[in-house]
Amino acid sequence: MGTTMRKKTQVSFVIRDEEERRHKNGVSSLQLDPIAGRLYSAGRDGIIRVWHTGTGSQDRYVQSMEHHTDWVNDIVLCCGGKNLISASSDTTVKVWNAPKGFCMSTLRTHKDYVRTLAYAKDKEQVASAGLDRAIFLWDVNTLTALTASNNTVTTSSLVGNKESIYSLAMNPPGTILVSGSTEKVLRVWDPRNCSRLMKLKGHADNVKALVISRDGTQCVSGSSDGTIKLWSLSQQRCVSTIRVHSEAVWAILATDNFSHIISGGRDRLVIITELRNPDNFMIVCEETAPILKLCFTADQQAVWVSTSESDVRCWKLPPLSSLSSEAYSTTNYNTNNVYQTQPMYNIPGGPAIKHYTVLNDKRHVLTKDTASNVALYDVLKASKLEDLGQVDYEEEVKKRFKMVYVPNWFNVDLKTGMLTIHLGQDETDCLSAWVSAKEAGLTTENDQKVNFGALLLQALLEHWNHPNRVNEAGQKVVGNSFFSVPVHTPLIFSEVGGRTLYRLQVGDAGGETEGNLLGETVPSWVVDVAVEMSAPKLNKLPFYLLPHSTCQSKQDRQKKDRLVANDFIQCRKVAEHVVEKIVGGGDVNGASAGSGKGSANDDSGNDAPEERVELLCCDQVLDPNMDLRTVRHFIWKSNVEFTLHYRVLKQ
Amino acid sequence: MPVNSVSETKKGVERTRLTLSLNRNNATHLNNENQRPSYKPKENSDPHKSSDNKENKPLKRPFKSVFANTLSAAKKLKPLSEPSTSAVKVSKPELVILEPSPSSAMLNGHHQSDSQYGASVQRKTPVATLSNLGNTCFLNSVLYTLRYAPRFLHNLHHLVSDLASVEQKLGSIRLKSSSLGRSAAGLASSGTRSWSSKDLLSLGQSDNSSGKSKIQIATEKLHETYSNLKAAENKCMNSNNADACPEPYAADAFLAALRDVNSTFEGNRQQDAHELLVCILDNIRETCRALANRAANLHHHHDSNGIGKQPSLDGDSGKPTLGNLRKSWKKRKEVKTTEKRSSPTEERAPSPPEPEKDERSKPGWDFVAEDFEGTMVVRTMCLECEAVTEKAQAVCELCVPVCDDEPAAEPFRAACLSTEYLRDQNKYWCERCLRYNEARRSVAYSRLPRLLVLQLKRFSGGMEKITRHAPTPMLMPCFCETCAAREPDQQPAHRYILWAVIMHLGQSLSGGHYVSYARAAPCGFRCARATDAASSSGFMRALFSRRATPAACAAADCCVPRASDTWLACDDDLVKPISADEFEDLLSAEPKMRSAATPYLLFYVKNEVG
Repeated sequence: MGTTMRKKTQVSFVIRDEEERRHKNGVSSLQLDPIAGRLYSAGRDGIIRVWHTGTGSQDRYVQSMEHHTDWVNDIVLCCGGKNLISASSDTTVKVWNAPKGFCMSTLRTHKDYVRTLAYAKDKEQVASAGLDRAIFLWDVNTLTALTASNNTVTTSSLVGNKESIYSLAMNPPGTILVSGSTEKVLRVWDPRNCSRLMKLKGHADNVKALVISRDGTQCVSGSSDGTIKLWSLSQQRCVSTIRVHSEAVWAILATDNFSHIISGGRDRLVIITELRNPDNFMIVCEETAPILKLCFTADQQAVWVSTSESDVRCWKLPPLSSLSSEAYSTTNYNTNNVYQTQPMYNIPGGPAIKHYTVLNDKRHVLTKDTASNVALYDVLKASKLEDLGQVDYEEEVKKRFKMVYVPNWFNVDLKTGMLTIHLGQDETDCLSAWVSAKEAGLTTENDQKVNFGALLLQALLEHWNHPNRVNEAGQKVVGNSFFSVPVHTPLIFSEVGGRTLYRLQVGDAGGETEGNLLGETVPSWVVDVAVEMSAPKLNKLPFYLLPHSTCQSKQDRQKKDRLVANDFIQCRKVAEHVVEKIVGGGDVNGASAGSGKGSANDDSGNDAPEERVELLCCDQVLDPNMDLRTVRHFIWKSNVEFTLHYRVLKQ
Repeated sequence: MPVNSVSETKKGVERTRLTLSLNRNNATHLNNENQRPSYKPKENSDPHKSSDNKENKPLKRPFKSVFANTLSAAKKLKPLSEPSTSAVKVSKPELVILEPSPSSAMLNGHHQSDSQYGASVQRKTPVATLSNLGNTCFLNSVLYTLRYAPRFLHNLHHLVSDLASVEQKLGSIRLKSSSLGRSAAGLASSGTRSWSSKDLLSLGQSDNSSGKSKIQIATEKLHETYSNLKAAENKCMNSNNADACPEPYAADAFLAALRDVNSTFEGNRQQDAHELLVCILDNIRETCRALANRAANLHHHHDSNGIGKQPSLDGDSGKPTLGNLRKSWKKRKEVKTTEKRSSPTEERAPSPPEPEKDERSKPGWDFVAEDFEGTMVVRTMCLECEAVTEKAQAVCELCVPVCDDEPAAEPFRAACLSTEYLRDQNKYWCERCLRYNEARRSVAYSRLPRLLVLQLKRFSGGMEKITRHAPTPMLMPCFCETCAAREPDQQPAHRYILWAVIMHLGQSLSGGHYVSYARAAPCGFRCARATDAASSSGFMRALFSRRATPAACAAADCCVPRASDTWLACDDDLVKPISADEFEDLLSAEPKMRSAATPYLLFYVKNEVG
């Protein structure tokens, strides 16, 4: 970040409830704290949530750990439950105080999505890897000792990977590390001296799941080719290939003694298999979506299962002895039989927003989620306006069509299952939407114009104690004069199309640390608009104004008048111009043959301009309330030679 | 570069170019169909509007003196008058089967004495030649190549004769209807729903040649060129002078018609042979389409006006009426559209079934599509959700890079079937995950055409030609999906046999010369339009296919070259037989100088194995 050429910074925020107690998207990873009886779940909504695992049907929600801005792909609980490490597609690794749920530090060493973590319990060492092909080794005790002043970490990295890494595993003593990647080979390292030990070939596709036995002699891998392979690391070969799944294997769990594995994947089945005798397998349950992660309960009698949907369920495992009992497996457990049809526990998730439509006013967004709920959002105020329930989405979109054109000034992103709004990458994008304040329902005053992007930036940064935040009179200016946004709104500054620079909640911007960080992060054009309240540039729209063919004046007015106006002015204004500058001028009065009575301007002052002159575009009479850019967009339908005609109705 | 892009300037022929380049540059075009969201929505440019095409156009040079390779080859050429039986002894057994036909033995020159051609083969075989009209070696090389394209002339002949017969019928309807006091156009418009005004226009004008479209004229002139070549050969055959040789023929009429269709070919500039080939095929395809429309109109005419039952254009059965044609035409079109749609499912839309035999004998049957078009399937798998998105699309000729690596056992397979990852800054927008993820994208061919044209990318990048030797196998295993998926020890279901090569001579793309080498083999193919009553019998069918075309359809008399199985080196007005060994030597030779002849377009014909 010390480079002189800094990438453009983008301002984003999430429209959401203050407390989101349910996962809004798939759940990538699970970790159990058996002592505290807590389950940690890493959500693709960017939030790590903590749940009570005790029996009983009370609300299991404990708290949310929020700081990531993209999918959380993996978590490991370390230091006996004191710390949690998380890896995210926002390219960061974060260190958390697990019981309290706050983020202690953020590691930005990775250059692409961080996809997977591995944990050596005995050494308190964590490895992270991802799509940038790099593997970094972290000493957890160092990480947790980081402070604002002492924040340099030295890491060791394992090099040699040629492709994106999707899985990692370390044994508890930290003597062996294995990585799985799109290269289709397993690479094995000794993390103690970072030396490469071997490459294991055999899979035909990406490897997304890995476990290693405690002694580091055996490894089980699950691949997108649908197979599970047991490898002998001492013999450097594949011992057996287990084909119990019909599709890609994404999650594997091994019992402590490495006798059985539990696996899940794209075929939505959780299957328990005896490693030495893969014919002894049993389908534990069938989930509703592809399985992303498995995690034992404290007694190892059941597994927590997370999927690409937001529910997390706990399923009872069959007794291990029953698997090897010949009679049992042949009669009761074949592929058609499922051991459990009802989960022991269920932590219900919420629906993810999957569809959106930005309405023509470029302010309201209609969404539909996985439960077919339709909702209406007001982007300008960063809030949800209305839950419409399970109604016809297309119909609602149609119903809300307005013939109005406003330039785009934001983008919508649904990757987290919640509504994330990205404001423009620079002022020309973000500050392009000027509207009449009256039209926007912000004021009753007639002539005030507002800029959507500027209003929103002002509201988002209203709590920031920026030194320049004073007006001419020396008074402190706070936000815009119309509205505020919810203080819980997460505000995110990131490189365009890339890494997150800073995330905070709107209401926290007043803090000193936050203020300093904002000072480092917020691009100057945003400061200009949101703090110094300078008015954004107006968009000028050139057009030609000609008399309509049906009211040709004798005088040759064929020369094209090229005019320039603000793009949001209404046709009424143009009509006024015609009345004042063209028709009202004495020359036209004298020249108009039909009404050449010399009526002059006696009574014209009483009539509204639109009653004296009508405007046409492409032979269509224009509504005086319609603005110019709407006319150009919907009627002229071109960006060049925008031409309006006028017709005098009464002199 | 003094060449206009065909796709840009093409007049009349509106069909998009389906040329596909498979080099790296193009791959990025493919990748970027998923643009990162930006405020100004970027237009997705057509991924196949490849700039590589522009780069890959060699221009020929009118001089022939500098080309060491051809010269040496030419020295080896045997005089034309020498009996072509000399080629027989070198032809390899696996090369003799040109068409799936049980009578392969007969096609092999070794058994000439049994053949009904015996007499003619004993004679000197005169071969008609084309004269250079000034920088027209690009034209001549393509005309020669297509002349020897298996079944091509036959199909062209039927297209042109169908065109004539449909026009004749339309003309007679016009007469009839005007006797009823109604104009043809008036009839046409009554009770129709789907006719375009263009169709009506062509219908009304169909009986005078001035109303013919430029496209149709170009197709007719092409056929005429081939008829004239054949006539010249026949004349020599029948003359008493055993050494009679046809005068070089000037294909100026066709060239003029072609220039009317596509202004790219105006002026005596050097042109890209590949571009011409594409243009000719497009032109024929459009002609087929126009004919099919017209034939459908013709039928509709009868239907809606009750003027009389339309006699079938098919001589043999009369069963497949034009109504059926219209339906099947529509059906076929639908198949195509579903194919082109991006199907989000793992299940692939089925590739178009091989058209029934009936369809092949119908007027306007698009034989270009069947003979030259393959179906390329691009599959993209998001590496997170692992859902596969599939897009299928028709491709005409495959563009193969001349790669640095040592050639593999199947040189073109690796170049045409590719797999790449979309990652780093080029991630894939997954519609399920609603985000950018890594993805794997692969290119495969669910169907490869009967006549496979490979264009070697020798002109990528700068003006320098890549003269590196690229192996040109005489026989190659098919790499369509079914064949590519086979176990290594299994035989592929089809394979491809080389039947022509167009060589480019010269060291840069700004100039050079084209020479074509074509395998002149008798066509062991039986016309589906046989008038024989016995045609329905499978046994007789087999029997007749043994006798090739002569008895079956008139195409054989006018344009199918009757030649023995030999390679012909065609260099403008110089056409000489060349033995298969000599030809293979030519192909395998590492070019010694940069101006050397290098294979540019390779033509293969599909052969079912077993």
